[in-house]
Amino acid sequence: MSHHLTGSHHGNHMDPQSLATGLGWFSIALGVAELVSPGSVTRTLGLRGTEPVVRAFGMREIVTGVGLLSARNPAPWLWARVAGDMLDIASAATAMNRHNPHRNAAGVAIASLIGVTLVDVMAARAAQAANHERSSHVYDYSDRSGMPRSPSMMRGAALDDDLTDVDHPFRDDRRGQSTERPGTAGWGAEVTAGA
Amino acid sequence: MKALVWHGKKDIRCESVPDPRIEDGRDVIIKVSSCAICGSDLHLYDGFVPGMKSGDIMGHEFMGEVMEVGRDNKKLKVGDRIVVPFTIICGECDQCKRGNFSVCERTNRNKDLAEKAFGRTTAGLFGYTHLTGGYPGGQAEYVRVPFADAGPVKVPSSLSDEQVLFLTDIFPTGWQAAVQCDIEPTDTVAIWGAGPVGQMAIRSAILLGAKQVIAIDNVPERLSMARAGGAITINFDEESVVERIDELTDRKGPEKCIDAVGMEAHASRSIDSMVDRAKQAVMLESDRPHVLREMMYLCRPAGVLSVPGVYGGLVDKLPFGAAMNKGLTIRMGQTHVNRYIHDLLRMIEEGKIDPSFVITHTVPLDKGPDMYKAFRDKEDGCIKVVLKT
Repeated sequence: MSHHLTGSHHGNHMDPQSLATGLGWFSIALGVAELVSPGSVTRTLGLRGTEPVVRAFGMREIVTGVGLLSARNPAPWLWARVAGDMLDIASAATAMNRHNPHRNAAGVAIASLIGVTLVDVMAARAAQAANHERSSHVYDYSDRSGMPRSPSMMRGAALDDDLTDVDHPFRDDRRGQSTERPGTAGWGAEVTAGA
Repeated sequence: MKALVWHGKKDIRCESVPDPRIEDGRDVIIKVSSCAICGSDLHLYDGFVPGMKSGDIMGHEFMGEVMEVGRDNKKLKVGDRIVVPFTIICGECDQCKRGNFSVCERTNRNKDLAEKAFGRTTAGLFGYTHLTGGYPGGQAEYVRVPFADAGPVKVPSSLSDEQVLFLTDIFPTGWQAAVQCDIEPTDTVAIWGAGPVGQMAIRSAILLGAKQVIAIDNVPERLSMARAGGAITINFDEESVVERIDELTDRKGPEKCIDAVGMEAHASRSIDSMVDRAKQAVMLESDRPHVLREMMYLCRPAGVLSVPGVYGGLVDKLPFGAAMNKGLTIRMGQTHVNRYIHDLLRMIEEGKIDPSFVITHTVPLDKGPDMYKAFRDKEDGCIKVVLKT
């Protein structure tokens, strides 16, 4: 039987699952803030009147966050975050017009969004790479039956034995019970530990 | 000595810790020759089972040589080669006398904790939280084995460590899962999860005469190994479990269903599984019972559900009406290892089965922390890890 070893690469790279979990919680926190207090976002950016849009973005963040926390494969949800980031940047860019007294704040927001987008892209690519690595090599265990003959020939082989005859330290044969299935009955009232 | 020590979620380290010593007359100290990482260790690694403390030594599948014997232990002597069942038993209480070893009434030294969590105490377990006694585990160079004149079993030198190591847990666990099904020659047995316990359950069902065995998983290597053991496989990422099982059972469902998955079910395409993951992530649910739901729905009326998979706390939205109205029997529990271990050892000696088929990775103990991650993420074709001290 050939045994193969895992290399030392584990733990040396960014763990996509941990990163996805962190981004999931970040999404939920941001989403709740946008849903509960959209006015603070619109006031900061000088975009009053767009509160319903901010609430919708908040809902999107929460859905993405739950998806990231619940999915075995986080890659699609991370790319969804990247798409959402683009939408956020485009929305914030509308606040950059020269008549908006809050355009500096909008600039800071856009710079922050670009930073978050870069993290999301890195995380999504790392998750995709991990998926690819997993699926790129499938080991063949088709010779590992563990039985001396084919499964069809081994069917019922355990029933050939009267396993109740085994000299067993805990089994009290004085009860005289026969087992319908191996190892299911015959446990007596008097057990001698370590007999 | 060196040991794998739990420090928190996804934080297991190989560290130097004090050597164990005899604490009771029935104890022995063994030098571990081989130990393994169990699927249920991953529940601790992922932080889903309460009751772990930083500094706890992991591991409940181990074997080795007796180095020191307590004064009251008349069964073992220095030099004996033994396998140690993961359930610690006294051999004397009412439950042990009935063969219900995994609910031994005396070996859990934290009974008050267990009673708070479970209502009544269960047996002590090696390396598996303070709810079950807080006993140091076997992923270590040395282990103190309490009640060692009751549980451990001597193994012949003609068999390798790899052949007998899994008598400590996964082989009897898979076997008990099949035995609990009362398999008839006309039965279809559907097994959710083709990890190490699922693989043992597949072979046990075959050896106990099941007409048809179906294995459900999404890891190609596990499915390949399941087919080698005689199962028809369903990849739940690629096909509908419900439709495929209907096809294979003339739309009547399997008579017997085995949950070899437990609390961390992955079913990426099912809505209920996604909701479970979200609820678990925000601590609104402790376990993800997708497999239990699917078994209750799919099982043939008057069938049996056997649950070797570990659950730790609370599950939501179980279709109990389906289970009740279909008259399903549900059997579950930690494994009564000592009920089966002698029969299974004899089967190994007779060559009817060689449980070492499941080993995919053998590494030194100090590589254990890396292997937890590889095992959890099914990397590098990992199905079962054996650690050598």
